[in-house]
Formats: sequence, structure tokens, C-alpha cells
Amino acid sequence: MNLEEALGIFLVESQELLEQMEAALLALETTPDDEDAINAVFRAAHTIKGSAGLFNLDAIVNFTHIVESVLDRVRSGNLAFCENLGMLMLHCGDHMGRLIDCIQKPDLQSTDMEQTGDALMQRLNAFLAPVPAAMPAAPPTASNDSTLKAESCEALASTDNWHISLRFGQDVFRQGLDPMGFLRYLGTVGRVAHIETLTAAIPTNSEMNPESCYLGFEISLQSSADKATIENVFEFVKDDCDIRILPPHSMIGEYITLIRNMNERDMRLGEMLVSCGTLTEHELEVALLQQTRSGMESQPAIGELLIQQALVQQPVVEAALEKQKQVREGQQLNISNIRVDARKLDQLINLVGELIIAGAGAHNIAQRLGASDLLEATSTLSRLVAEVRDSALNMRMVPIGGTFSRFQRVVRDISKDLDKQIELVISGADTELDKTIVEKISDPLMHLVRNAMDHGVEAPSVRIEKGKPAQATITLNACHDSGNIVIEVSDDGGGLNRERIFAKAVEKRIIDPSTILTDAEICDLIFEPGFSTAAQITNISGRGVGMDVVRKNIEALRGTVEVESSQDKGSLFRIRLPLTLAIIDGFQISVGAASFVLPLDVVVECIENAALLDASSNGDSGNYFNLRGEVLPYIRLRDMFDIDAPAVRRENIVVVQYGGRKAGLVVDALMGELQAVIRPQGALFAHSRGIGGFTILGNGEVALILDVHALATLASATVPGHAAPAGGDGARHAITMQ
Amino acid sequence: MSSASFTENSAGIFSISGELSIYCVASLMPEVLMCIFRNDGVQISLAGVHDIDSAGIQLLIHAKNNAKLRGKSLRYCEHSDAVIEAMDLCNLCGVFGDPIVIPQTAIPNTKQ
Repeated sequence: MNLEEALGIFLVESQELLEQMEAALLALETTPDDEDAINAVFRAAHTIKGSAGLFNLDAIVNFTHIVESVLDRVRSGNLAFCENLGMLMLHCGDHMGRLIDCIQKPDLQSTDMEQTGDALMQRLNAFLAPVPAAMPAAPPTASNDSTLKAESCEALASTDNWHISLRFGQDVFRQGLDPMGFLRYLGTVGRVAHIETLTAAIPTNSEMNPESCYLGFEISLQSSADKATIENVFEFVKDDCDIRILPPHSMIGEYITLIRNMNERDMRLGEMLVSCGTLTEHELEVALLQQTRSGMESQPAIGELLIQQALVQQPVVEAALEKQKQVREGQQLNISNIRVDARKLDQLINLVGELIIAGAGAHNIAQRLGASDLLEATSTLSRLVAEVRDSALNMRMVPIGGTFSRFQRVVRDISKDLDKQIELVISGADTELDKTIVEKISDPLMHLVRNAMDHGVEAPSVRIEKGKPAQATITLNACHDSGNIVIEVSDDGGGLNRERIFAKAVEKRIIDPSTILTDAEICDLIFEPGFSTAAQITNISGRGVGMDVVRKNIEALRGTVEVESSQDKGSLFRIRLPLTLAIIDGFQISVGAASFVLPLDVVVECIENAALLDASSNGDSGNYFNLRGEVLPYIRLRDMFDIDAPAVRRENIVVVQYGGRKAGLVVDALMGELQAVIRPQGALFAHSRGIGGFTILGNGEVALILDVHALATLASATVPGHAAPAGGDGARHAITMQ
Repeated sequence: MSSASFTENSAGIFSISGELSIYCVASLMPEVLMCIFRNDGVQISLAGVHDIDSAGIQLLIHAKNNAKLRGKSLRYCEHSDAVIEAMDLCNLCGVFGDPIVIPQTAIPNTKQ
């Protein structure tokens, strides 16, 4: 590898390291004692310094060296991490990023940068001045949450039995359950060596309700079953009752051996305990929930919490912690990822595409020959090829969490600038999507988030007046839905102001003042080019070049964006993007001699020999039919694509759905499932509605891939009540009906 | 839904009979507590209790507690098989402190 390639890798890696550093610093703002985060920041700086040294990038080495020194002090406990230090480190991270950018673009360098660098170094040096060693923050004390009776615990702990602690919820009787029934069942998985019934919780005054359950039990159980089996005994009550199961002492040795022999994979403590059997999944879930509930200030470590609640024994937790440390230290030398040239991956996917077509061809021949063993072989081949396809496509998928977490910094900085209190909540961070999409969706998302902060969220005083909490919340959410990825940006601000939007649109002559628009249509106006209701143009937004560009960018990815909004409650922008670009599972249909392919994800059901159509209405009110009581619009593909072929006796309907809307497609014949390699359509066909590419069938013929979204919108536009919006192409806008 | 009844016989011994379960505890409890309130010492025969669940056990416990609180005595006697089995399961014999007579036709193997 030559130096240039190595430098390229350094640039990419440093970028990643800086992102990790920033994320860790932001985490430290809320939990300044997080050792893992401190180590992460230190490691990032240390690695960048080392690599920069290889290339003799002295400026970076010198600067990063000081950063590293300060972080070393924090790491060894001689310097407490405070808010000022955090801010300083964030600025240092930014500066390091700029220095690294300068390597590729030397013209970015300026005296300004040098001055900034010097100023930062001065501030850093202040932290390095010999200071009396600051006391490291005391470890958080365990919360006092013991409910186990000390006496019975001790008495039973000396035996080598399972110790089960049951506190039934008050409504157990009302739910039709009987604690004694569970005790009897418990007797089937082991022998109840001893049991204490706890009656102290029964109120002695008139508060006692005989239909409520106040009973608790402490049980010593001799059993060779595993913890999950014992936990299962209480399956029907585990959600409402407090159940603690502690394994017998003799098991400790066994658990510790299991932990020590575990795979060298970095696991969280809870995972390790569950996988060796001393803790069940359910117990871990409950404990984690408790941990987060106990608030940021006094969050106990999960190990401590579990020991305290008598769910696991101390020696086992210690063994697990030791193993974890071992694995983590070993892992720093291991490489668990491989860098792959994106072009190689694309090439692989192309080859897989060819493989699919070749396989389909072989399958067709096999069918024609009718040789059953050959047919079986080609079917197996198809199945394996599908798996290779999924595997290859998966390699390009990355979780969207990386993009989302960058927004934390953005929200933090901008909310400070605007003097508003805004919190960013992220969910669905591990939803995966194609890498190219991730890169392209970042800008539109950024714009939506900035808009939400600038326009959506009101100033704290205004919010308090409205009775809302002073701190606003912006939520980023991602999930999968029928072959698409859905990304939502929502805020709990003032919502879209209908009157102002309407007025502005009139002012900009986008619409006529006398037009009557539905709420949804008004909201849609914000996507018009040049539109902006911001009274002032700020640094952040208001220039009116935003939303239409956002929509264009999203549509370029074959996606859609829609908005929902409610006065004073907030707004929600929903982006839908198709997941797979290259190869899909499809469903083939035909009209006349022409074949079409639908993505299998959107097909809901097929109706053969649709007698329903006879009863449908074909008049001015549009085409619709009755599907088991549901009224659905339909499109006859024959009419839509003007296919001239003799009509068939009975037509078939394929019911498809997209984004919550269903419609029917009337076709001649249903041909079955297939894998389709999508070939993009040429520019000539770019304006044809309803076509999303084409594919080559096994017999060599070409089939058009239908764009279901466009078709569904078109179909519903012809049904009364679903009016087309003013001034827009019906197929290009997605409108949510409120 | 079968229910239990709380009756008094001529000799002044009270008894609960029937199915002592969640279905009847709500109506039975006030009767039992009133009985404790009105009398200085109470004996309750459980011979007629052919079925008992946790709610029933809880009621028996509560009655005992209530009597203790008022400084009155409450004794259960003539425990039926069902009651004995339940008390064994929950290890309550010590809690109640009443002598239990196990009939000749013993219940197979409920003792540890």
C-alpha cells in the first residue's frame, strides 16, 4: 500500500474517531463519571496523535498531544471532568477536525485557525498546571431498595437450595389466579424444602380488602432445573408480582466456569449473566428498567443492582466483570471490521444480479423439460442465490443511529444560539438502511431538524404561557414499514400556522386568495419553491430555499415526504424511502402479452376470477369495488397502459398497499413470485407515471416494474373524497388525510 | 359459583362451610369479624370447608389477627382435608397455632 492510500485511510478513520469523541463528550455532559466515555475520548485523541505522527503532520501531533495530556489526567482521576472542560474539549475536537481537513485542502488554512489553535492550547495548558490532585468523584452509592426480609434470607441462604422470594400483587385474586396454585406447580419442578408465608402485609384496619392479595412467600427450593424453567412457573404473574430467584450456592462454581469459558466477544455484563444461566432475560429487562428509572444522579451499576436485589450472587458478578475486562483489553488489538472498497461491493451485487437472471433461465428450462430432479436442483439454486443476494445487499446497510447521533451536537449548539431549551430524543437508531441513502438523507434531515428548532419550537416563556414544559422535545424516529424505511422528525412546538401559510402563499402568488384548500393541502404549500413564512431570515433558516429542496432530494431517492401538524401541539415530518435499490422479491402479473412486476412487500392479497368487478361501479364517480365490506379504488392496468389485446373472461385483482393506503390493480393473469433485478429506466421514461424501472425475466423478456406509490395515489385520486391538491401533480405529492 | 356460609349452632360453635374462596370472602369477612367483635372467645369449625383458596386462607389469617388485636381468642377446629392441605402447602400450622387432628384415613404424603 502506498502512502497516499494510507493517508486516505487515516482521514476516514480520524473522522470516525472524532465523531466517537464528540459522542462520548456529549455523554459526559450528563454523566461526568462515566469511565467508559472518558476512556473513549482519550483513546480517540491518542490514536489520532499516533497516526498523525506516521505522516509527520506536526501541527496535528502537537495540538493533539496537549489534548491527550489533559485527558490523561482526567482518566487517572487527577482532574475532575467539569462542564468547562467538556466545552473546551468539544472545541478542540472541532479544531482537530479542521486541521485534518487542511491536509487535503491546504487552502483552508488561515491565520484565523492558527490563532484559534493557540487560544485553545492556552486554555488546555491551564488545566495542566500543577493543581492539588482533585478527588475523583465517589462511586455512586447503591440505592436503598431492599425488600427481602433479612432474617428469612439468612436462614435460607445457608442451605444449598434455590431461594425464591415472592410478593404477589394486590390484584392477583381479581385476575383469577391463586398463589397456592403456583406453589403447587412449583412442586413439580423441584422439592419445596421450606416455605414461609408472609402475612405482615395484611392491613389490620378497615383498609383490608378480602379480595386483594397481601400475601408473600419465601421459599427454599431444591431443584436441578435451570433458572429459566423455575421462572417460567410464574409466567402468568411475573408482570404484576415481585419475583426474585437466587440460584443455590453450589451453582456459583458452575456459573463462574461458564463465564470464564465464554467466547471472546465483548458483551455487556447483563448479557454475560443471562448467557451463563444465572440470570433470566426477564430479570435483566426489569433490572435495566429500574436502573434507568433511578435517575441520572444516582444510577447504580447493573451488577450492584442485581446483587442487591438478590437475583445473582456476588462471586458470579465479579467473575463476569473480570471476563469483560479481559475481553475488552484483548479486543483493542483485534480487528473486528474489514474495510471494503465500495466499488467491489457494487461489483459483487451486479454479479449477484446476473446470477439471479441466469438461475431463473435455468429454472425455466427445467420447467419446460419437466424433469423433476432438475427442477428440484434449480429451486435449491434459486433459494441459495436469494440468500447470497440478501447477504450482499446487507453489507451495504448501516444503522441510521450514526447519523442520528450527530444531531445531538447540532441540537445542543443551535438551542444555545436560539436561547431555547430543546432536548433531542432518538429512537430506532439501529434501523438499517443502504449506505448511499444514509449519506444523501443527512442534509434533508438536518434541514428539517433546524426548521423544527427555529420555527416549530417556541421560546421558553411562550411555552410556559401555553402551559407546556419550558423544555421542548424534538424526536427522531426510524423504523421499517413494508419494504420502506420511515424516518420521522417531530417536535412538540407550535405546529404549522395555517393562516400564515395561506397568507404567505397568496402573497407569493402561489395560489389564488379565493381557493379553498383542505388543511393537508395548506400544509403541503410549504414545499413550494421560495416559500417561507419566517418573519426574519436567520442564519439558520428563513431564506425559503429549504423545503422544496428537501422534497427534491428525497424524491431523487424514490422516497416521499409528508407533514402532519396540530396547532400548539407540534408537527411531524415523515420521510419514506425504499429499502432496496437493486434486487427485490417480486410478484409477476400480466396484461395481454405484457408482463409487469410488483414488489412483493406491497402485495396484500390476490383475488382470482374477480366476480367483484361485476358489481363495481364504472361511472363518473370513479372505479371502486367492495372487498369484504371495505371500499377500495382500483385501476385497470389495461386502461392505464393502453394495452391492446383481446379481453379475458375473468380478470384478477391484486390488492396493494403503500403508506397506509390500499388499492386494487386489475390484471389479466397472476404469474407468481420471482426475484427481480431492477434495471433503472432511461431518461426517456423518467416522466412516465407508475413505472419504477424494468427487469429481465427468465425467458429473456422485459417486464416493467410498477411504482406502486404512484399507482395507489392515482387510483385514490379518482375516488370521491380524495381530491387532487391544487397546483400539483397528483402522483408526486403524498398527502395525509386528517 | 358456590359460596360459603357462616353459621352458629346451638352449642355456640360457629362454622364455615362450603367453598371458602375469592367468590365469597367479601361477604363472609364482615360476618366473621362481627362475630369476633360480639363474643369474647370464638371457636370456628372448618369441617364443612370442602374447598379453600389463597383468598380463603388470607381471610382466616386476617380473622386471627383481628381477634388478637382485640384481645379476644379465636380458635379453628375440625380442619377439613382441604384446609389441612392448604395450610401444609403454605406452612401455616405454626402461624395459626391451633391443634390439628389428622383423621385416620390420612391424606397421602402432604407433610415434608
